[in-house]
Amino acid sequence: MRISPPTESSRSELSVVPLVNVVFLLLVFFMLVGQVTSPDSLDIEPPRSVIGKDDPGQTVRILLARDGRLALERVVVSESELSDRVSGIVASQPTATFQIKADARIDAVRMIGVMERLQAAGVKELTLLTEERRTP
Amino acid sequence: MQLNDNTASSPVRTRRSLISLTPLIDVVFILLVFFMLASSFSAEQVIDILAPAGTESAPADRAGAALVRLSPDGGLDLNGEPLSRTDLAQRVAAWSVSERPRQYLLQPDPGVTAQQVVTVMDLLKSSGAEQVSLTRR
Repeated sequence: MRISPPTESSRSELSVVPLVNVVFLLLVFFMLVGQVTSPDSLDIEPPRSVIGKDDPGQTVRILLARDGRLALERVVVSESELSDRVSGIVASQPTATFQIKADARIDAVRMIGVMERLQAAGVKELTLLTEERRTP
Repeated sequence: MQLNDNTASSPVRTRRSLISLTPLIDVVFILLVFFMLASSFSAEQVIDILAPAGTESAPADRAGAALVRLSPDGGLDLNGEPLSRTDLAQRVAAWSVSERPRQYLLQPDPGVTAQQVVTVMDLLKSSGAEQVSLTRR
């Protein structure tokens, strides 16, 4: 009749081990599936598309937020600063490719204006970042 | 003595293993929370806007291109003729088989969102348009 304290402790250990298993599984899942990336300097929700191709990476990213603010990589810039810096990048690395991450809700005329500005600054290869839309 | 030894050792062993398990769980939980917060699951893709040299749409190329205009309420017109989404897709699909223009200029009116433009680009490209360029007025 004095067996109860050991069974209690062994029962509590039994309930911990499956928990640890589940937590390890979750940990492995998040490590493998998620991509650890640094957050962008502007909060942007890109448009969804079915024709997008895989992101090749190694591009210079220009951010265009919903409120119209522009950023080059992590630095918020004005339109004229953007032109200057982009032409500087094109001059130093002629093969650089550029990517616009624009918010889905921004006025398209404004987005095209930024694209034309980039083209005028010497950009030869430009892509628009989208998010995959799963077709129903 | 032997019996006594047995009963004494088993609680100690379980207690010791419990003690070593708790910091492990702490660390694993912290790692789990870190990866949950830091990882992103968005599948990022890209659409070509300016293709590399050679295929870039120069003004001379634009002469033969078809003009698709897009208004903020979702209305579309192709070379000035109002069309529904399905009609436009059929027209583009028919043109892509014949030798009609395969280049399209997409001109959104002010107030059209980037998502609407991308949706029409989806429609044109998946109906057989080879090249879709964006332009503004």
